[in-house]
Amino acid sequence: MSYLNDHRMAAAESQEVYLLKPPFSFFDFIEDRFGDCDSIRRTFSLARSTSAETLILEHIQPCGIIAEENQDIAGRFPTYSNTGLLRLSFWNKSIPEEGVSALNSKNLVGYAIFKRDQIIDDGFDEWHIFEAAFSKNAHPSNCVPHPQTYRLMVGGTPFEIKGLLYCQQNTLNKACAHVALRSLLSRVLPEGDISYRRINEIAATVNPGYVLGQGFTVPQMREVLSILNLRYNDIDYCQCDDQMRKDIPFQKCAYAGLESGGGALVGFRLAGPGLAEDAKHIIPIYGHTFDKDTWAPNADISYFHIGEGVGYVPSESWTSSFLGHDDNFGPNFCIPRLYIESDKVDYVVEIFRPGICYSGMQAEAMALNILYSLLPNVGGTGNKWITRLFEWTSKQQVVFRAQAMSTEEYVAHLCGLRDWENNGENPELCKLLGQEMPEYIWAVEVSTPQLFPANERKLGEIVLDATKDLDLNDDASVNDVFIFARLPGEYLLGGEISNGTPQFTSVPSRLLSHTELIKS
Amino acid sequence: MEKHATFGNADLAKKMASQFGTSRQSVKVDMRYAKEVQTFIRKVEEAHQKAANSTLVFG
Repeated sequence: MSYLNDHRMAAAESQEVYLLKPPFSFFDFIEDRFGDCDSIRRTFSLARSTSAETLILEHIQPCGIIAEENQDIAGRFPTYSNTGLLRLSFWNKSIPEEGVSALNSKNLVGYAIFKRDQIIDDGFDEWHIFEAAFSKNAHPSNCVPHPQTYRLMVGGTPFEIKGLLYCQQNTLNKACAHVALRSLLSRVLPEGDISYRRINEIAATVNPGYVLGQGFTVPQMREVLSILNLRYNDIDYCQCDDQMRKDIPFQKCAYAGLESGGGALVGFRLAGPGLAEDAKHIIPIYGHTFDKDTWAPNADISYFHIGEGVGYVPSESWTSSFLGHDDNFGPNFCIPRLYIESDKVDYVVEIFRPGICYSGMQAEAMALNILYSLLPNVGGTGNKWITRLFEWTSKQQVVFRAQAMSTEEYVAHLCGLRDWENNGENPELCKLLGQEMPEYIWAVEVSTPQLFPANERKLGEIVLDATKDLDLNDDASVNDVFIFARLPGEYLLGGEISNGTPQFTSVPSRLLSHTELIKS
Repeated sequence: MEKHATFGNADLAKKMASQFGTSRQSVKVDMRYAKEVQTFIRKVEEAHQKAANSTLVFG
């Protein structure tokens, strides 16, 4: 097993067990042991809100990436010492008489590793949360695409929890950008985590003389992603004209990252008394709410225009909040999508899942051109859903939702689909697509403002090759990524271009009406 | 005359059609919003390229 997991799997030196039913008070517990720390208070609040019944607190020794961190801080501050390291796990039931081994991972609602850093010369003495992971809120409107699974040892027994790692800065060897990056990278890297030493080593290659724990520049963040072979799309709004905040709002870019499973980073200017004018903060966004009854999609403002008079209803119209962490305040917050004012956001990064080469925003734009162009030419089949889709398209009342997937994931989805009349797709057709399609695709789901929120269903997908770069010097490059459009009753596949006009071949589909959305 | 230019994967279209048949004759489609899409895609890419010059610092 990778050393990146050592600290989670470390054997405990000693263990304390607390039953959390009244009159046990987290307020007293926090103040007695950790002083006043917002993120620690938030962690215990999350545990309480999940009705945790038991807290197991284990004292562990630094190892793996925590031991590395201690060495790096000591290199900068010779009188540094790590004087406390606790692994806390929260359980939704009381510990049985047989002990922890009688619990299972379904009983684990979250864990956190608290770390105490002391520097004698500087009078520095602070607890912070090295990391934490909590199961997502059970509310059905909270969506976390592709959650990561973290393994940890409690009482000598291994357990697993699904979520997204929360990490906090300490100003000694890591700032907000380090911890935001680690949160998202723990989900997309094959090795499942990254050390701060590794992040700092990469950062130092960009800025020689770079001091640990101080701010992180955009070129440093970009280099970390590039060295790790992760593709991304980012916008520094300060480098663009003001119109860019309207043409490609940060929310659009961030949401594309969420739906592709890589997540997004949002960097903004802080405002408030006592803050420097140029104080900037960056946070990771990893999920979103899905608000079925929101009014927003009915408003013109909800339309996303890729050009003059050409638009669609993006699926994020049903999102009122992003799910994210703020390392200053703790894990798993709902952050209202429109709360952070656009003119306060200077930077946004959409991180792609490994294997994906271009943005979900670009995929949706290409899907729009294909769908809006195809539909006027495919009427007359007698399929009423094609007729309806054409009518909605003419009013631009079409919902697009770009999903980055492996072909294996897509074919499994296609094979499992049932239309409203319970027809399934031909398994041989699914098999052929599985053999012929590239390893990674964008499946841009096509739905309507009625079907999408109410039934969570769709009328098809525009499927694009996600493994090819878009060559912007070659207009035909965009054509190359098209694989097929799946509409009710038929697939439309590309062919030769004659006199500038592409030809499409129609192959029958057994799915004749609407089907379920992709669930990740 | 763009004889060999294709839109998507013509080979896959042939394989699918030979194995599962076709619903209709091939359809010629004028791509109505190609220019707008190209402009939008370039806008996203150009913003990404400009971010390389960013001087923002977080933390």
